[in-house]
Amino acid sequence: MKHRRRLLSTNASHYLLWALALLVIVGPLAPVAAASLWSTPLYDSGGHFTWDNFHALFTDGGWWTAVGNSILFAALNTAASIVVGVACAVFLTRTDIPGRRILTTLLLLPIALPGLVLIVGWAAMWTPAGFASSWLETNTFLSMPVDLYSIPGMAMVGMTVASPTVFLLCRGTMLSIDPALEDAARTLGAGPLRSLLSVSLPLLRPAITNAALLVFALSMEVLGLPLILGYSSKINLISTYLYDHWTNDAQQGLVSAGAVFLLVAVAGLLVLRNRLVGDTARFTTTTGKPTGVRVLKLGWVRWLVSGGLALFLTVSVVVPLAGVVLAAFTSILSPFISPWSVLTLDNFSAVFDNALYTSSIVNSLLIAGVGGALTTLVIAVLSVIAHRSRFRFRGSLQQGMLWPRMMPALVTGMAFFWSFALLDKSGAIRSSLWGIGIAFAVRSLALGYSAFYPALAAIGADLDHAARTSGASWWTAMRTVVFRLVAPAMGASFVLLFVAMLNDAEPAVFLVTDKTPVLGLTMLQLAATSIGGSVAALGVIQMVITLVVLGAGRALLGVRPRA
Amino acid sequence: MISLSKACALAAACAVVLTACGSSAGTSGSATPTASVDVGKASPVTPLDAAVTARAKKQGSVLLYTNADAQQTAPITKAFEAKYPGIKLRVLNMNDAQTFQRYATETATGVRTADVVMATDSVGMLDFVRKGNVLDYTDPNLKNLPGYAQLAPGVVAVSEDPLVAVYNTALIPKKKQPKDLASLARLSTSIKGKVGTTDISNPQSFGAVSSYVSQQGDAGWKNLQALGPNTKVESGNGNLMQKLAQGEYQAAYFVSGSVRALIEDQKAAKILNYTYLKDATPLLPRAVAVTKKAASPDAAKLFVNFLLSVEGQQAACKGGFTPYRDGVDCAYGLPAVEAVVGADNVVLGGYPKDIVKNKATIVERWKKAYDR
Repeated sequence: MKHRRRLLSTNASHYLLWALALLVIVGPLAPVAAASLWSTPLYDSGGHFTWDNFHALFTDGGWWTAVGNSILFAALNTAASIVVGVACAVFLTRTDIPGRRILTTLLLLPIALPGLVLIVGWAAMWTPAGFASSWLETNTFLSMPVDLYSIPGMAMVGMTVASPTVFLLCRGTMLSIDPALEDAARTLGAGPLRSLLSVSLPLLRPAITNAALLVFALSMEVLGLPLILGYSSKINLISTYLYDHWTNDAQQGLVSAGAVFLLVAVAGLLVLRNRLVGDTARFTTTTGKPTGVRVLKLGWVRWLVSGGLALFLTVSVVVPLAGVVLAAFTSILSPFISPWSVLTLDNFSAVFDNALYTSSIVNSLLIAGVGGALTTLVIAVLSVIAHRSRFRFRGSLQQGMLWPRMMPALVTGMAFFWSFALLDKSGAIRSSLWGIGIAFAVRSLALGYSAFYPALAAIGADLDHAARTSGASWWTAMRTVVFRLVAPAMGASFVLLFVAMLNDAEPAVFLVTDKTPVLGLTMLQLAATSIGGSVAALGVIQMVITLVVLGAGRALLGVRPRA
Repeated sequence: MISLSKACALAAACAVVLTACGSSAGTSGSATPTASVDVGKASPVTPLDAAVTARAKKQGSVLLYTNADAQQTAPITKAFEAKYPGIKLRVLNMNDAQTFQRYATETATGVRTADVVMATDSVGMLDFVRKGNVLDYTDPNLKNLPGYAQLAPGVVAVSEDPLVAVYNTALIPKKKQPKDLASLARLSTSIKGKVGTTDISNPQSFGAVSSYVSQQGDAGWKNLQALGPNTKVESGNGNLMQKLAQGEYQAAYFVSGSVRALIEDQKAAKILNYTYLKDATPLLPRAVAVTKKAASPDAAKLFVNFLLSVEGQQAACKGGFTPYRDGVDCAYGLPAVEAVVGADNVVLGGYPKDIVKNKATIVERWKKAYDR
């Protein structure tokens, strides 16, 4: 056999990629760690090493209240979205309930909406004075049982976005489970439902724990939700606490200390996840034999399930979405004025007439489209190194991909600014879309990685071993075998990355210039100064664009968010 | 998934196409003045000397960091670029805290930063001056401007932005809407939790409270302490207005004057009404300053000169600023505010005395009154 000399040995290539990844991920963390241990903000001269920031943080009662609130909110959100997400993954992919495609679409819609706009929709409809709540109270005996301005209320709104994420992360595994495993249970006398629940559900353990970790981590750092819904009820979460101290007192040291705390927390959660999942070889479902998807017949119960899901999705998705559309097409949305009397297209024309908004849309599309695709590839490569190789430091890659998400977005933005300023003296990257794109991409690594982890766990090791024994190098085995098999996960990763990078705002505060506006920041500025109509209009435009891009991606590449 | 998303896309695309085909100019022009108010006589123009103007034209652009949004700065950009073709006004919108932090971070790393900053936050701006970031020079316009226009060495007021009270007319009919803060405080006991304002961490809110209490003293604190337990606090104006329109709140006070333009539009006026409170219409100076590390200092001076001139103030009026110099015809100008509030009740001055020293105590006292 011809022995081809490779340019770089596999191990050396792993080290090279690992070093590059570390540069991009840990590089920005260094200014944050430095700021947390320094007595003055980084831009001020002087100052000295100090533990005061951590001391001030840990002795502040307000901080621990915020931590408690955040943990409660995150726990509620995670629990609810896991239950809903997994139930939907089971019912919508493996059973024969009617209307599966519509229900799936409805479930996934909230992901396409920017968070701010989704909250606008919820606020317009389901708050105590909202349209839908008032209508329910005046016309029926029902009323909205959950107060949106409380932690359970915020968790409910958060769940609308978290459960489709859980669904996306679990669906791939659900579809790849070998029916032979369930057949084995059937031959022993288990009914179809029992075999589904006792064989297939446990196989979802990597996907479920991974999704739980992601949702929990995201809940700890989400900012828009508590700022809009929790503020008037004096509910402080970690994110609003840090945001307050950053913007109002310019206490960079204190906030950096808080960011370090969050990083340590997520590192601990990741260790917990790996512990809970254990040996991923137990969850192998893709083993080289052709598999089909066995659909479970539920009988008459399927109408009940379908109806239940439809009702749930109507309340949590359709009604808030209607609120968004109403807000976009009216000049002012209020239960006191009939919406039909204030219908207008002015909100949309205000968006299209303003060069700032249209260039924000174009810039963000570029960042999200091109950046999202490139980042998906990068994550794919890093994930296989982290989970399919014998690379010595693969554990650090797993950690590294999650950390950037945990830092408050403003801190990430500042950190990237400093990194760019120190490493790129010419400023070419920093003041271009590439700089913003890199900051957004690194911040969203966790989302893409979460899509890959369960998919990789599900692929049996014997498949790449088969390639290796035929003489393929490690990279060839990955390229020809593993990457092909994780194509659905790549699709899911791209979806999550595209949406996240389209909407991201705060990391760009220090990086954006008048020539490179981005959609997230533009939307925040609009939200601060308008009565909601223009924000909703921008959100509707963004949602349409997202759906068009994702639909086009599916048509062109055959890459779909589902297998 | 294709079927539903295609339908959505089609519907929205139709709406979008209809809009693009049939839209008129998006920006709303200034409303016609409700009553003719005497705006005084315009002083003669005071331009900069020719050498500065020539250097400015060579520099070619001015980078402005401001808390005013795109719609507010658009008329100013148009007017400035029309008057000085060849000099581009580049505007970057961000809130006050970000403006100063970004300037500090950019100068610390040697990156191009703002030539001009325009901000409302009094303490932020004074700290900015104290750190030596502002170019101290005297614009020729100053000799025709009232004394309170100069806020600090090198810092001049562009606009005196009032804060207003806004009511939901469906819940509190126009006749019953309180015309001063003391009556609102009395009313608030019967509508506990239905009155809103923004948090003192917001520079406009802090400016309003500090200006109000430095004018009214302990009587002012008494009113705030009466309002405190009955008021809910929001993080920003956007939420406040939305909840007010929905009926979650019946009244809101110390609201940024930028809502006036949004309410003058007939549709919003069906449900929202704003008023200048007789005893509590703080006027917050919007400060403008040329920075020390400006890359285009002469263009910056030219821009500030334009902004302070009668022509520039007319353009600012179109954006919703509140001009205060004589001879500027504006529905939202200072004379219009004085006509409602009464010239004696309008307190014009620079920043409140000792504001930097007193900030901590004011914030503490406010937080106690509002239980935050």
